[in-house]
Amino acid sequence: MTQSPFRSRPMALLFLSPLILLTALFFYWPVAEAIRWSFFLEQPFGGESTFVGFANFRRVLSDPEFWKSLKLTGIFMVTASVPAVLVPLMLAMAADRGLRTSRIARNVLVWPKGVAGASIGVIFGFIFNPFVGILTPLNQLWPGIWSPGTDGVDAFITLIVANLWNGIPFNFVILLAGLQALPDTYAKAAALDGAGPWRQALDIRLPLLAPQLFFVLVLEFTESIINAFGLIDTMTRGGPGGATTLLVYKIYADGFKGYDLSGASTQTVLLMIFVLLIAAAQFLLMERRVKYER
Amino acid sequence: MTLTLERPVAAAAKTGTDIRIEGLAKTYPGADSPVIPNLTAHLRAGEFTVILGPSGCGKSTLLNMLAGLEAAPTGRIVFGTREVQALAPRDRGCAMVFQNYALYPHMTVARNMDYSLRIAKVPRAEREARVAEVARMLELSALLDRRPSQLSGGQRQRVAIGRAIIREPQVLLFDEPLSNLDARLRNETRMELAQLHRRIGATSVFVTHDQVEAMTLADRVMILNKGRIEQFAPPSEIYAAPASTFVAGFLGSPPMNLLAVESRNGRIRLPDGGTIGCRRDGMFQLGIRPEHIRLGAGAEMRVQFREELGSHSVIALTTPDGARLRVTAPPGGTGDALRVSFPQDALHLFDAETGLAVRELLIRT
Repeated sequence: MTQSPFRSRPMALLFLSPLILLTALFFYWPVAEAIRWSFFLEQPFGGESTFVGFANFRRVLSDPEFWKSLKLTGIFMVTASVPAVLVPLMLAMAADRGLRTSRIARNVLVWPKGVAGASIGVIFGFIFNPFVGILTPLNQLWPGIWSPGTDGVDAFITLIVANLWNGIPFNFVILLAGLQALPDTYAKAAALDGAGPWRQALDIRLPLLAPQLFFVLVLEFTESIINAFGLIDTMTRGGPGGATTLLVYKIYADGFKGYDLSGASTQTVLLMIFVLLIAAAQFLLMERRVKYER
Repeated sequence: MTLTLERPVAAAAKTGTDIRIEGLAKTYPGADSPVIPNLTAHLRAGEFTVILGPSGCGKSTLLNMLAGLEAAPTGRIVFGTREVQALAPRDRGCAMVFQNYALYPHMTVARNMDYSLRIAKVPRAEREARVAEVARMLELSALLDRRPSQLSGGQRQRVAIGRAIIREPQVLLFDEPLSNLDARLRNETRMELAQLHRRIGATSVFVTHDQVEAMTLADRVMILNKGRIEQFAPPSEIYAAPASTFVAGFLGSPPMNLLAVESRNGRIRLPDGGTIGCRRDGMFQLGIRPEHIRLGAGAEMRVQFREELGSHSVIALTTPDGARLRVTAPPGGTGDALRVSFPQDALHLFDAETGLAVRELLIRT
């Protein structure tokens, strides 16, 4: 872009201003506030605050609860994101092949996008209920084998499944769009080179889909850290015994239930740094490999 | 690109197989009329066939059906002794060069070329030898580690050809492979393709809408019109004896003049003032190529316009009946009118209704 389509800079800024205003008001300002609060001792019900330097950070970083929830966050990030990319990938590849029901499937698979995270939590809380849910027969065969209310692993699994279900529509749409943008002559050339459907998928379609795969993986990693909140709050409330208290839920619990605003702000800043590092690492490690020119 | 080889590929290559197409038909879903109504043809082993026709004539559909990329619901396709119309592309032994090359953008030149060999589980040593040989033949040896995006159009074209011939296919298919090249490169590549074909000996089918490619490359040209074969003959025959007004009007630059004439009492009055005998009375189309019209004698006709092409000029004249007549003339002529006459042995005759050639009705004296 060498030439601006606008005659003057102020005009361009004028058109951009609503978006800049919204982003500043609802994103940058809270971020700045969180950073400021992390250096102050805040009163829970307002009033004066005291500058304490890095005392909040020292307190949080020496708290084993913080490290436990950060570890859970990392585990959730990997175990929830990978299936939330792989399952939509398989669905998108199937839908792209133009199988008999793919037209209908394409629509059905997008619908969950219209459901809020909290509603998904409520629904999956019911589905995975050990007494009335779909896994109830398991408990009749082996009593106690499925118990998300008391078993941390079971609770974690319910979160992963709900997150997967939540992630399917968006990732499916992006990956399917990526697949459909590939010229069909690649598939034709590969067919003549002797590649069957599986070889074509692995050797041609998947590598050419790398940019979209990278995109959804980066988004899914960061989303799984943040968006898990709605699911946790409705399904497990961080339990049992803190097994599903990911950092994002701990911040909420500390700040709004424990009235530790400074501690919550400090953890927010640390979580932001964590997300930044993850995204930066992904870009550094993977971005160069996924680029190709048509 | 010079095709010098110590060990010609032809020595190692399997010779091509003949292709029989019998009663092939295809209608796209939702279309009113078939793209190919009923096509039967025999392409000889090792022959270079060019399928020529305007866009929408079914030539690409026919090529895709040969390759197995499109289903052939009706009719048979036989390669040698094998009936292939129900086989998957990979079981047919065809290779294809695509119009946009379709090189895999994420693979190097070498990987693009040996991909089919990897799939066929050819041992590594042999794969490398074949890549090296094809690369040398196509002058790609220095480019083997590059990716397609780092190549020029002509180089991509050669990689696409290399990818097709590395498997030594029995049938080699070309889908307008030269149309993305600029004019100069197109001329060069055309000649190289002709040489290459002689070397590797595969039965080749080449689809194009460019008549120069058809005339220069083909052993035989199949001219398609609305999915029907108008004529399937060597280029010289297509030029000398077009089978229909469609062929006559499609080939040649400028194409053959076609003039409506009437035969009365066994004679046709010619626009140049002369007459010629005809064995049947009725309406006909008289054909004569612009380059066969003789200048300087006969009827005088008014010049509509001149096109100067350097080597010669094309002049559009108005006949006494008001029809347009194109003649080629030496360059640089002037004047508002020209005298032209039609040599009898250059005349073609077509039935006005069917458009088919009825040359034998003319009585040349």
